[in-house]
Amino acid sequence: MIENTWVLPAIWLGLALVATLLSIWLRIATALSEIVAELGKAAVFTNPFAK
Amino acid sequence: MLESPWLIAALWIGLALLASMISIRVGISVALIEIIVGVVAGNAIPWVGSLFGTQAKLETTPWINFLASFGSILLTFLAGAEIEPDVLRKHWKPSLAVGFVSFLSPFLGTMAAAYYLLHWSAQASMIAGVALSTTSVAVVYAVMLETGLNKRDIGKLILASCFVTDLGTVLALGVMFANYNWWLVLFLGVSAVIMPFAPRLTQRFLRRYEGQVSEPEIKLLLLMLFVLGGLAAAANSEAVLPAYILGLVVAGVLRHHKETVYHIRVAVFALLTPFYFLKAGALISASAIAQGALVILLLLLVKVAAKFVGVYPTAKLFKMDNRVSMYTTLLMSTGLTFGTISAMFGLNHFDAQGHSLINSDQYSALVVVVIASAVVPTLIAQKWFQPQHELLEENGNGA
Repeated sequence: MIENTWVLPAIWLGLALVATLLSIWLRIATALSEIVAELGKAAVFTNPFAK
Repeated sequence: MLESPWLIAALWIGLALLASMISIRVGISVALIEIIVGVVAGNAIPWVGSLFGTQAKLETTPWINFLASFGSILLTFLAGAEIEPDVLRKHWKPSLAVGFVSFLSPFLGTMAAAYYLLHWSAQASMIAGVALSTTSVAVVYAVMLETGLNKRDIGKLILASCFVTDLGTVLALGVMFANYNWWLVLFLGVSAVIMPFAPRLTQRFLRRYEGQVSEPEIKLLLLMLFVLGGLAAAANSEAVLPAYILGLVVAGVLRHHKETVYHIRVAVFALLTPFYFLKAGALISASAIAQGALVILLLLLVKVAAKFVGVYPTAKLFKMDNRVSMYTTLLMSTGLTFGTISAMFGLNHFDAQGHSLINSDQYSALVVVVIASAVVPTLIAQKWFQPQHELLEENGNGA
């Protein structure tokens, strides 16, 4: 879907930024919030009807 | 030949380590040494492989290409961030004049030489013009730091002029080869929104989060670079264009946060730019250099002559004496980063018929000219035309 070299890194880095900010606000480890952000991304972007 | 990504990475980082050690020993810019090591490895590995009857080469993979591109845009961002807006404001007249002619004169001169004398295609000639119009901020900045001229008016003026020249180069590259479609409109629109807010947003992040291990302020800058770079690439422009401008836009903020800049610099020089410069070198073919020696000599002479025709009289116009005018001209004749970026752009982008804008022989010739222009004028300037500080302070140098 995404051929542009910079789009995927932008999405991943956007998620990393969100996770970093969450980790600072919630005072939890960045690694933990990054996993949560990735789970959130998977929940939003995964097609539930795909096999 | 190598299939494990770790072995490929080990080979590349090993070459980068070798280049760093050589650069420290001989006191020459690491970017230059990385390109030279890349040339040697890129040409020697296939030759050694052929002796053993195998087809060996310095592997480039999609992730190496990505790290190399990432290195080029982050390095460009740092170059933009090195410019002090106050200096640019204070010396705007001479820096604008010197910087502009330093771009325009070699751009037109080398483009005409490539088209009329070497009979390159119109697009290849434009790439030659752009690649050879540059000035190396990295080389000039290193020389300024080494000589202490970065604290003097003349040093600040030369650095500000470099910025103007390279801005001309980056704009030319972005404007001449962009697709004039909705992606370009979107890119310009998003840039117009992000650029004015970037300093305030960056400042806010720095004030609030600087010192955090997870470095949110750096991630914010990278996110802006990727979004703008992605839109520029979609418009068939070059991701270094927004990177350079974003660097300048946040330069005023970053100059008060040296630690953040230092962290970015560590990532750039330790991990990213080695891939960029080694790859730039590895793409140079030794046989193309041997066959194209006359082309290289011609383009180098035209580039340096065009810089002299443009910069020297302009420097004199601003009441610089002969020695200082000569020194300014020679330093403005250097080229490295933007030259190689422009040549690589030409090699990796295609015309309507699907052909590269320049072929590999033209790429090799351009990068060798760029490297030669980084070394020869710098050595001459340092050896014979270095300004005396006291004299500069007395004369004021029109700055």
